[in-house]
Amino acid sequence: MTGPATTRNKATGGKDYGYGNARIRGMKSRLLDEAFMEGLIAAPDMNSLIQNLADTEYGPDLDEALIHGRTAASIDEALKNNLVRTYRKVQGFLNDEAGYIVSMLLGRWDIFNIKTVLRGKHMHLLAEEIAEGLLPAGALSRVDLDALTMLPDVKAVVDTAATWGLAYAPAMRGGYVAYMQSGELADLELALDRYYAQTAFAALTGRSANVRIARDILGMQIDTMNLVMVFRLQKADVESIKVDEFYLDGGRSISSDLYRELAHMSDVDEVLDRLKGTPYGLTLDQAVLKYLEENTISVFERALEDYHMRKALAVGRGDPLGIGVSIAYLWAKQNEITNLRIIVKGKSVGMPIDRVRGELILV
Amino acid sequence: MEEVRPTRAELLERRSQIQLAQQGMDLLKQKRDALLIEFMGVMDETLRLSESLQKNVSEAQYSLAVAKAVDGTVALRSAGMATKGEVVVDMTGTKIMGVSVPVVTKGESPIRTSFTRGYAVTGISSRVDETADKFEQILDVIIEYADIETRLKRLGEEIQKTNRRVNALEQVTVPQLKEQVSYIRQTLDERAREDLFRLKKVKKKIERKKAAAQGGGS
Repeated sequence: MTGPATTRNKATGGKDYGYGNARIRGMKSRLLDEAFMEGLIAAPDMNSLIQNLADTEYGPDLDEALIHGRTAASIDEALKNNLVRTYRKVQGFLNDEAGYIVSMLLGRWDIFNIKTVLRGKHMHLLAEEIAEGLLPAGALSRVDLDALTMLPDVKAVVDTAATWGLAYAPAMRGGYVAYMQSGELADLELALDRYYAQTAFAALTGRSANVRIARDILGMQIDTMNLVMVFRLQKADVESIKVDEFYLDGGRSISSDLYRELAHMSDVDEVLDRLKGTPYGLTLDQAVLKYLEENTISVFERALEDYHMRKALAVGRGDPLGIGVSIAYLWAKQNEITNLRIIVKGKSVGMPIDRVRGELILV
Repeated sequence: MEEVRPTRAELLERRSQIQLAQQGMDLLKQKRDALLIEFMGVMDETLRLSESLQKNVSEAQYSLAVAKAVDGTVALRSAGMATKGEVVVDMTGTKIMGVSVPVVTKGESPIRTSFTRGYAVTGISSRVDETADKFEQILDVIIEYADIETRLKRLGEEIQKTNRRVNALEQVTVPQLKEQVSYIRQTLDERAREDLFRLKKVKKKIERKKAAAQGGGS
């Protein structure tokens, strides 16, 4: 089998951010504003929502997806295709350094897709069924992923990743041994998650401001995952779980010692008290009331995601000739698509408008 | 009315049948009352479970909608591939007031923890995880509900059947038997009156003959 047909970045120069950032600023100006979102929320039905959306950047994707019916699922498909198309477009005009940094940050999508393929193979699903759970927004293209879904089993996927020389192949090989011993795919998935966090953070070395920004964003992402894990462990029997196994290296403010200390605390209040000195203290404190009302840790996860999103969008207001512009745009695009999904889903299930507004992120 | 032989033996037979039917009717009424008491208990439990199921379903649907909206259908599909499993259910049977009812019990609780659901919890959002948890809780209640609802259905059917039998005895069999008894008694009485009349006639004739013979001889 030949190597993966991954999309390679067309470098516009080693560290020249001028061209790429100008293009991105152009794309950013076409992001939907709050008034437009309000208009969508107020749309009386799905048809008028589609009509409004068809006049935007999403028009071509909607035209294609709506062939299968004017349903929320079709719009979801269009939004997914738009996200992939936009990410690929952005990657297409980044310079070498930006391309490298963005590929590291978007590596989580590769991990997501590889895990989906492994899950499908573990459960002996058809290639078409697995394809429905893929989102080729990372370095692995739809063609690469389709090739992986055609393979007969988990072992073949692991072997092919090694043949292709994928960055995650060593983790897959290590995880595969654990998977064979326990029969639990979670072992293989965990190996991939840990490997991504470790390698992506380690790969972002150097003293340049651009690398520092990317490391901060990645670090916050990993901190969020570790903190959500701490809250999960609060609800689980910590004694029977190997807490350290779930710690992801590469976080910005949550060290392994702090993670371990938090994981062994008796309740959420204690955890929040301990986190007061960290950058996440205030954000989590503000979410406590909602947590008490709803008694679900997704409240904290959402607060951390919002914090992460605010920080990611803020880096776009820094150096106009730096990586911040690309990162802020990619995150803003993802935020926009998430908000559109919330509005469409809310409309399709008849969710009250106030509730839809409450679920929106940063609007 | 079925053909009845108006004999004394038949009358006795019908009377004992009425007694038997009334005894059976009383027993069936007692059974129906006992089944009704059981039925009301099961009904309360069914209502409780039904309310719990409705609440769980609406909460799970809302969680699913939020997870689909925020994390996307793709993330849910992917997580769903890892969590496929089977629900083991044991089917046995028991008897309530002589009524056979199936008993559905969970082989193993379908509720799993975030750490035993099949995926690595590090890569899954808590929204998706909580949605999975809520649907597992629904499965758990559905199994309980299947058991109690089947029991309710079987008890309901049995009460209906017993009611039909009681009604048949009360409205049809016993009145018919009573009608037959009354018919036999009337027939027997009539026959007795005829016999008496005939005997009186014969006696009168004999007496008249005797009187004529005595008159001729003197």
